[in-house]
Amino acid sequence: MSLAFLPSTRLLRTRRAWVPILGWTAFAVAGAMIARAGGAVRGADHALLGAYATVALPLLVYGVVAAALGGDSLARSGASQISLGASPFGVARATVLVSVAASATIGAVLAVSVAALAHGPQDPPLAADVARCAEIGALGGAAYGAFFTLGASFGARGFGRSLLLLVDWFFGVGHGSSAVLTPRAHIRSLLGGVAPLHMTARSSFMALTLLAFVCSALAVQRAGRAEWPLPRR
Amino acid sequence: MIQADGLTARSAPVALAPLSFELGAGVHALVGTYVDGVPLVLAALAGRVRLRKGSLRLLGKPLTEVRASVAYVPLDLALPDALTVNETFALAAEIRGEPRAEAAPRLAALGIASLGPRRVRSLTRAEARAVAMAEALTSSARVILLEEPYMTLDPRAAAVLAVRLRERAKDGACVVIGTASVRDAIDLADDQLVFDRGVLVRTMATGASTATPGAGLVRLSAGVSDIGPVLPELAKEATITAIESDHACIVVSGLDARELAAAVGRAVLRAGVDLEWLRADAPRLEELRAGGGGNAAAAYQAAMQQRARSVPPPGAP
Repeated sequence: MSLAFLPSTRLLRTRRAWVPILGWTAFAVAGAMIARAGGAVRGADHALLGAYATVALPLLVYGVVAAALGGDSLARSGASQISLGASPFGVARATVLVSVAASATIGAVLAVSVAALAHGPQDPPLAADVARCAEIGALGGAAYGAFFTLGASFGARGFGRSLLLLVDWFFGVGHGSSAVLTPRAHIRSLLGGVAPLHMTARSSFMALTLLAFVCSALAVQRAGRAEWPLPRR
Repeated sequence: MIQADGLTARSAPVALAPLSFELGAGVHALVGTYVDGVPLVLAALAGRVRLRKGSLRLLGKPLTEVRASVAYVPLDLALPDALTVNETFALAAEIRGEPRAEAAPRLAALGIASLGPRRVRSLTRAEARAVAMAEALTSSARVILLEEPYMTLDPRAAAVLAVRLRERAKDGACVVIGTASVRDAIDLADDQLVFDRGVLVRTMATGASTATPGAGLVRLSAGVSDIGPVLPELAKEATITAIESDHACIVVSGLDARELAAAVGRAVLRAGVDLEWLRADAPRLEELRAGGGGNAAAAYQAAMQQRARSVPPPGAP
């Protein structure tokens, strides 16, 4: 539990966390307001599939993960605690847990806000829609959080995180087999868009859950075994 | 406390040849530069880099079982960036399973109590290293690994570091310092393990006579409050073969460093003047690696010991 203190504090106290959270939240809310102002009959669907799922959620979670890791790789982000005597696996587990939980929470809150603000006459009843959006937002946020945390276990400064953002961006927009491994395609499917390989909503739900667990586990394994190379002098 | 058997590790461009040693309670110095692999040995002992071969036991157990009893302060140290210094100490106490205690007295041990409320991010590098050393030296850790302890260290901490290291060693801790400074290694440690390009080439003990008979003259420099009365007293000492002086200091030469230092002490006492300083040049790292430097090391140690007996510590009445 004490090992979760540092990544949590990084999220609460650093500008690196607050700037992307406020920025991408404002972007998603603006998308919802525009949908509402335009009188879209399915405003929530439009705003969620558009500004929220396409741009705001992945970039917001990318920023949250970067902030939780202090802008470093997953292994190096825990170096200070390891120097104080903590187990590398324990530190990696706590960091991944905080990143995924924060991403899920923020994803859910933002999805609910967007759905409520952009709700149109032909959207499902508000209460049910908001509950469903909270579920999808939380799962999507968690999957992205785990996905980017795994990315941060590659590269000296966690460069893999940026690489996976691009992979999600380029492969997730399609409907083929390459999209199956990206959170973007499954979140789109759950929000009413086209599913990859015509998977059912339930399959996409399972795929996102699996993605969150597998990526988290791999990230912990990689960071727990990682060396922390000496700087060249 | 530390048992390394055939230990090898690698962190490009440095690699360690199979290394075996045992270190018990006390202060031990690993002497050598980055390319000699000294930081790499410390990193391997701390579990920062993987062992390629061999075995390592700390406190009789594998590192993974005693990690909380190991404190490691590398040169490129990282402190928890988003926390304050007080929070860092609280976090460290939880990790090590210690009862939570105020950070101020622990920081005061190295003279930096005022840093407690500061954010770690706001500390200078020298302050951050002092904080990390204060944590390491006042924790329950029984194996303490310090890389270049005096480098980029807050002067308040540097002034008392040697005393704190000795105290921890006396408490039964195994303190290992890695340094390229022969002077620091002799000043701080009970023994020195000398490295050359990843190979442990020599082990020396501070205080043991390492002088080689017939290896040549050793020279000691001394500063006294009044040179005039001392010169005739020095001339009476048989072990001194040559005396040089100017208005600032006296340089004496002889064959035995310990005898020379003692002779200076006796002459100063008889002359009734104050010995302000006494020093010898520490041997160079290359000399130690080559198996020489014994006379210089002995001279340096003798000067330090004589000075400790004759010169009151700073701040003493």
